[in-house]
Amino acid sequence: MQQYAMHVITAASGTIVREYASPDDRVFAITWRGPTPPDLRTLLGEYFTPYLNASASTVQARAGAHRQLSVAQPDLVVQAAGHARAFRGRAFVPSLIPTGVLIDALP
Amino acid sequence: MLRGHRCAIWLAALILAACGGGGGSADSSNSGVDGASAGSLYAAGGANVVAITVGPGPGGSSTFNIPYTSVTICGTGTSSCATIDHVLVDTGSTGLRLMASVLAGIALTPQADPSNSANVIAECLPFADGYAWGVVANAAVSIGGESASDVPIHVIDDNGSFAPPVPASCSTYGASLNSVSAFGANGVLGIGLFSQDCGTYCAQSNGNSDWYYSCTSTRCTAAIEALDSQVTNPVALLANDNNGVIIQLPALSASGATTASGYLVFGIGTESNNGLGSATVLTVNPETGDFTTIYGGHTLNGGFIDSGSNSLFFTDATIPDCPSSVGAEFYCPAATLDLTASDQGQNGNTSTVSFQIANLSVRNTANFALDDVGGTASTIAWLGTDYFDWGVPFFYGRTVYTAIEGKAAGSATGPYFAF
Repeated sequence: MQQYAMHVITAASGTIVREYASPDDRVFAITWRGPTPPDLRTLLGEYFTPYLNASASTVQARAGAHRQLSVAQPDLVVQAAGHARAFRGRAFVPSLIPTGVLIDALP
Repeated sequence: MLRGHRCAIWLAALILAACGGGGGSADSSNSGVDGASAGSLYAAGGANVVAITVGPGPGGSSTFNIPYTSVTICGTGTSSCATIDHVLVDTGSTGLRLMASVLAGIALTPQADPSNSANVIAECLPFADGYAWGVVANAAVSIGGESASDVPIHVIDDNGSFAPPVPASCSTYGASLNSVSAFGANGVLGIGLFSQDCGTYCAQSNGNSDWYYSCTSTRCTAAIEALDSQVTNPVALLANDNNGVIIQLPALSASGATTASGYLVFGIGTESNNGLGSATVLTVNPETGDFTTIYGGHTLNGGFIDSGSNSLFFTDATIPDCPSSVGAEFYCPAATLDLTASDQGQNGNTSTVSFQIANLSVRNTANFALDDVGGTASTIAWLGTDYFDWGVPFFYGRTVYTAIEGKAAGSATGPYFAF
């Protein structure tokens, strides 16, 4: 039994987004890389506002580092990095990861 | 979206292009960051040389390792000018961006939308952690003895002087970075590898780039922006010395220094003082601006040299993170570590870099210039172990060349880094 399905979306910019869905069709992780960041509001869905709340205070405290950001909360992890024309990142919901799936080993 | 349903678009397979440099390599072993022979720094005062200072930021910003210079800006065709200090010198971005609050009194006219002259052009520039938003205007720019008369720049709206609300397609990039405090600077001088910040993608006729917008006083919609109107690397528009820059920062002692003074030099191989010399040229992927870094047995295709990063950022699970009081993204090893990585260009040239990572929690907080700072790259797995951000600590004790795409610079053609 396959543990998850991977769907790939290529944006007009060339940015590639991968969504990882569990057998019950819930997306538990997304990754992206490409010349521009993806539409995080759409991709994160209900998690976008918690992400913003967590990141807004962080960026003010990290004036010297706009090339990466990490948000790690019990039910949401967002890791974004890169510079103009080369962005990359991932987001996942730990509680939605199917049993037996290693988040760091996703292809 | 997370927790949502399957997306509609499927690709049967995704083939990642093989990356990395070629075969035969010219290996040059460089001396390390510490104890490096810095070579002779350029004498100040040349027309193509301007001072850089690493030190305290505007408004008492306490962030270390931010290199600043000053930029003089005038409205085009006017004598309305100002010199802006504490502008971040950034090889990791393209174009001059200044906070609206420090430009008060300067008569800058926003670009008109060529397809609707009643509208003005604004830009949403994405960063990894958010976005900067504001109008695009053309200005005369002088840096040291160099000047360009008609440079598209970004005026970051940090004071609410630009009326339309931020479009949803901009705020989707994350947090607003529209403040002096977010950058620790009054602006950013992007002098990286590219001529324009976005490039052909934003100039395509199918538009909707989500970077450039056409705005009324109340609403902005995505717009096409021609290449020569996009926010442009000011260096590329200089009459001479327009093929790239050199940054030199002095070598530091292990404990760092309260401040560090160095130079930004315009042009590569265009004057008697800016030759490549024996520097190793690492050509980069022309789309991403990245080369290959080999570290800890991993081959990372996202190596880049970035004066806009205040630390080296790379993933090494064996190095302890700092406590959150210091900054959990930084490394705090019990004892200073001697480490080595290898940088490889697409041209096959390789340069070995030795560096040290010290315990940031025991630093002297009066020191704004620190050369042994490292931190964790924010991602892991296939996305994350693939980058190595060579931030400001890399520059101490080195002469670092950044050549602009498509421009002959010394014995090679940009885009490339050399050191």
